[in-house]
Amino acid sequence: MAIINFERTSFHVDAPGMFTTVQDSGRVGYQQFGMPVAGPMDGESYALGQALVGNFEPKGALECTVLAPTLTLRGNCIVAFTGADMQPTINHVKVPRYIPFLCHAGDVISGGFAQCGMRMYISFSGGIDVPLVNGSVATHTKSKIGGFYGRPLQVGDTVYLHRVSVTDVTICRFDDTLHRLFNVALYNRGGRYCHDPFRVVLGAQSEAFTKDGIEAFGSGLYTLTERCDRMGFRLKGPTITHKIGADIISDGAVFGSIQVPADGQPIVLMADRQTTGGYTKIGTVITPDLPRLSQLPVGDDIRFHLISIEEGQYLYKEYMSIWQQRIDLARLQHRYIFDTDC
Amino acid sequence: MNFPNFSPVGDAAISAQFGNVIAPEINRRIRQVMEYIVNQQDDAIIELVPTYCALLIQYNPLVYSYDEMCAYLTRACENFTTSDSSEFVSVVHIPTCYGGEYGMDIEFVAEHNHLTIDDVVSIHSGVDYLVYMLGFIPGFTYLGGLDSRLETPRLSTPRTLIPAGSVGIAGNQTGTYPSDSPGGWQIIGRTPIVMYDMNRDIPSTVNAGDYVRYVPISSDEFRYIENHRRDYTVEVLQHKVGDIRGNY
Repeated sequence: MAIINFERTSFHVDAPGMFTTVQDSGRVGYQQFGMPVAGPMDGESYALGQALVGNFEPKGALECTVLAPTLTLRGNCIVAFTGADMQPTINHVKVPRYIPFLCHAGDVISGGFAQCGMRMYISFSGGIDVPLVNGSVATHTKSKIGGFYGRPLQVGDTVYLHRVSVTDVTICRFDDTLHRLFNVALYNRGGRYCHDPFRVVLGAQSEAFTKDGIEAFGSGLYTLTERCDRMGFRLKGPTITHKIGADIISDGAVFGSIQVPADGQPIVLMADRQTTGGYTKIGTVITPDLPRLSQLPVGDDIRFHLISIEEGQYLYKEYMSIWQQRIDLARLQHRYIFDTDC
Repeated sequence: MNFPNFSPVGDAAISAQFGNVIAPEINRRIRQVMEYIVNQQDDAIIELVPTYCALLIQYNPLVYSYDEMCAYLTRACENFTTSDSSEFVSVVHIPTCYGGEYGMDIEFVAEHNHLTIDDVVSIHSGVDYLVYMLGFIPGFTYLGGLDSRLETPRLSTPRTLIPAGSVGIAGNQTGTYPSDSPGGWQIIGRTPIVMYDMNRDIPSTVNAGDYVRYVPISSDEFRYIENHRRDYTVEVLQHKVGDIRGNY
């Protein structure tokens, strides 16, 4: 049954939320020109959202921080909420996360403060239509690049979505419990298991630290300070002492690199990190632990656990296999609701 | 020259360290290895980030283990060529207002090195700097050739906002902030020109391999250029490598 023609849809920003930016999988390949990657803080929640709304290529979605925005749709599209639990609503009715919804012109998408986690993703079929910069629509607010004019959304903005090529969507009979494949309780970003120790592979520059310094880092409790943003998480805890100094000849850094300036307090570099840095880096948080780190609020305490590169890569493979299973589940969830060919 | 040292950067990247000094020949070697890897057109190599003395390679650990990447890079390091010295290079003139409100750390840099502020200006503007790499933020140039008399450590806690165009010193490095940014460099001056423009074909005013010459200007000139930024044409001169000022 052909239900809807997906025309060019837009949404109006009635309230912007606390810090809502357009993100896709990031600007890959341009770090050699000093261009930061940006992209989602919680790459897994973002990717699941894309699969749920039926986007096969990663497209622009909204990353909402702490407080959800309120958006009025002008046109029809499929919407899904993933990541932090901001108690999303459609037309003031609370709806579950990790399930795609067909929304119509005039529908109001909203939510509240995050109950669990810090960042929720709102994905739209077709994705957000803003200019590509170096192959990506990811917003890097510090350099005012990408996304919607390089900045977070503001009241009154009108944001367009890409036209979706699939014009016929058949909706199967929706039974809330029968058709929900994701156990949302398992995706409580920022919940219990999110505080497990964060696993770190030491780098060559760990040589710059004293034995006591590395021991303090590997066993101490570190608190997320209020200076935690998309660029980096500044932590406060036992001082990681240097042998001589904290400065190095600037070199490259990745998402999860932990740099330690002269004050001995670690900074975990996050999605909006600079491409290179001049402070000693003790090590790097492994890929599987980054999504849950990105969902922790200011004031939470974390620990680090040092592992070998072999163990790190074993965990990486294990995680990517789980990641793929979840993406497959999200695609299945999409087909459960929208009986499309895609 | 010795082979680089390899070390892991998390579970999905490796660093090849070619030395621990800022030297044109080390940087040249990094460019050669990078070129070799790019020519392989290997989908498992995701991103390359060349810096002064190291090359960071992000790769897909589902394809290559860390040990396999070490072997891969060892192969990449097996063919180098030696350098050719009689070529022309671009020297980009960057008008810079030193000290005062534009260079709040110039007094610290002077005191730290037992110099006068005028000394700092004449030493800093008396050398042409090789652009080793772009990094940190779009268009940020890392320059080599800073006179050792100006070496000053970074701030122990970085500032949250450094204005665009700021010229700074950190250790034995100097460079210009192309946009407003947090940072830990000692700021000695500022240029009014646009260092990075996303709408230009080549967004960065200065690119890797160029030389930068800081030209001192007054605060009146600063404001004049700032107000006529769109009409301002950056001066770029061609010089023989042998005529470059500084120790190369």
